[in-house]
Amino acid sequence: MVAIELRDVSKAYYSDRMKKSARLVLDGVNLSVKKGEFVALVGPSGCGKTTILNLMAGFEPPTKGEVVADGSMVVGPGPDRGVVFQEYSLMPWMDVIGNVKLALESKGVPEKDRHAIATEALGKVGMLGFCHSRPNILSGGMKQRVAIARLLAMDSSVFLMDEPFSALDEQTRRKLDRDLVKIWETTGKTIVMVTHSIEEALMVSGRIVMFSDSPGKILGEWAVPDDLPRDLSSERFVAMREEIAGRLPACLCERKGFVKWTAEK
Amino acid sequence: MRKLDLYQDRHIAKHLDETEPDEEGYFDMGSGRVRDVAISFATFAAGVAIVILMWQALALYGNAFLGLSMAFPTPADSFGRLWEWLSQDANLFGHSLTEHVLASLKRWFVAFALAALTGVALGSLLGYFDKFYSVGIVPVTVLQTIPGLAWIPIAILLFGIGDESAIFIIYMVSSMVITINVAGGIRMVPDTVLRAGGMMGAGNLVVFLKILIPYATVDIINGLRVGMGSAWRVLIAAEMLVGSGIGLGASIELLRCILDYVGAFACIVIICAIGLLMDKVVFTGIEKYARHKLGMEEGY
Repeated sequence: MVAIELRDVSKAYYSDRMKKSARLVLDGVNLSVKKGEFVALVGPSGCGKTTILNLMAGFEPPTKGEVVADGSMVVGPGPDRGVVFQEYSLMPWMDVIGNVKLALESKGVPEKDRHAIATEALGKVGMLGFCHSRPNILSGGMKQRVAIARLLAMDSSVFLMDEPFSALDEQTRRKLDRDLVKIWETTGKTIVMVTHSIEEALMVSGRIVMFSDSPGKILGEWAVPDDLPRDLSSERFVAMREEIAGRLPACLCERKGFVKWTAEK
Repeated sequence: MRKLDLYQDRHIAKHLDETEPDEEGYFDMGSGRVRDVAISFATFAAGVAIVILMWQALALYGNAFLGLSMAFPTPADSFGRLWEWLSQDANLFGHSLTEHVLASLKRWFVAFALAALTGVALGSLLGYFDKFYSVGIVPVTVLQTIPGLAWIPIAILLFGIGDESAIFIIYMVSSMVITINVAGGIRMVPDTVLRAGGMMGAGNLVVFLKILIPYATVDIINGLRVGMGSAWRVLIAAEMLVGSGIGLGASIELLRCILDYVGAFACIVIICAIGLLMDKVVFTGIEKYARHKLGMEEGY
């Protein structure tokens, strides 16, 4: 069963203020994510990973091709495809449980059920003790936990996560990665996560999709074996990380800009 | 230069020496906020003192060197006159001082209330609907560029001399200022927040009421504040011409006609005091409260 799919999707944006030129950021991408799959999208910065997530979420339409979620065309955002944003997106005037309840209200859950559902979701991410705190006193990791709880409460079938933990310190990120895997295992959600870290992708996902630098195309895919020890120091893990990293194209700035700049000198 | 609050640490350090923090690190700060209140009161008084000193300097200079046909009123003269008026609720041109002040306040309040209602409503619509904004901002900007006094012929044509004319002029100026500020505030709400709303499945009404309006509250308050200030300024000007003999603006004009400059200055002092009170006490308080309520202050 396919959960969400990009069919021959291209995306281009204007590239100057006068709109005299445009630039392709995604070039004919075909990507299909099965129900219950955990896919990580990796690639050099500026390769269009976030654009893919925005297309899946329905925040932007594709220039060409189509995005299909659960059998129907994506025409806009919806609670079936929950998003954890890279920036914090909680409402600062609402406490933690208020934020989760707002998601339930937006989705149209009757008021009498909201409290129980919100409490359960916050319990799953370990934030029950902070129900009545407001986001400004929470750490970055806690804010993202609440953002995940919001999706659990809405019962989104697909979780779209845009470098959700990239602003966090190493230790917190690893802890959140592990907790996310646990949530994925117990709930069977479909997760698509954008990350710039191959290590993080290997720690969490079942499949890694690598993009070329802009305009983004799929360069390669790796299935992460179920029995791969998710341990940074194990030999198999390191070998696989090296293999994938070897295929990672250098960042745009180094390859084109810097070479050009040194040549001009 | 904007700096972090360096006094905070000195203040806290003094108390830290005297008390022992509990296990969670909390400790008593004694009277706490009293100091804050004292400081803000002192800075406020210093600001007022600067105005009065500048006025005093101008008066002394004018009287000594400019060879004016009449004495330039000094702060002492004007406050003296004000005190004299207040102590007996003096009668000025057939109305008591209280009546003049109340007449001005009434016009101001009615016009501002109307302007706030329509300004917030129109500004919200303009801010929310992009296409409406690109069309609607044009007439709003056109109306906003018309100076308050330029409305006087239109006001007199439509309403004649009196309350309605003054209210109309104030309304036209203030509502456009509020509209532009509110629309701007709503348009500043970050995309991520709107996207979060869309992702949660929020309909237009929920996005508007539960996300956009709270997010833009501080901008809306500031819009109202600017609108209220411009309303007060244009009110006085309007009253000088269409006030039908009552109101602070009308009093200034009449006092000027009988060459009572000290009296005119005393009226200006009343105007400044009311304006300052509204801005510094009412709006600053509301804004602080809103910022706290909206979770925009760090920590506590």
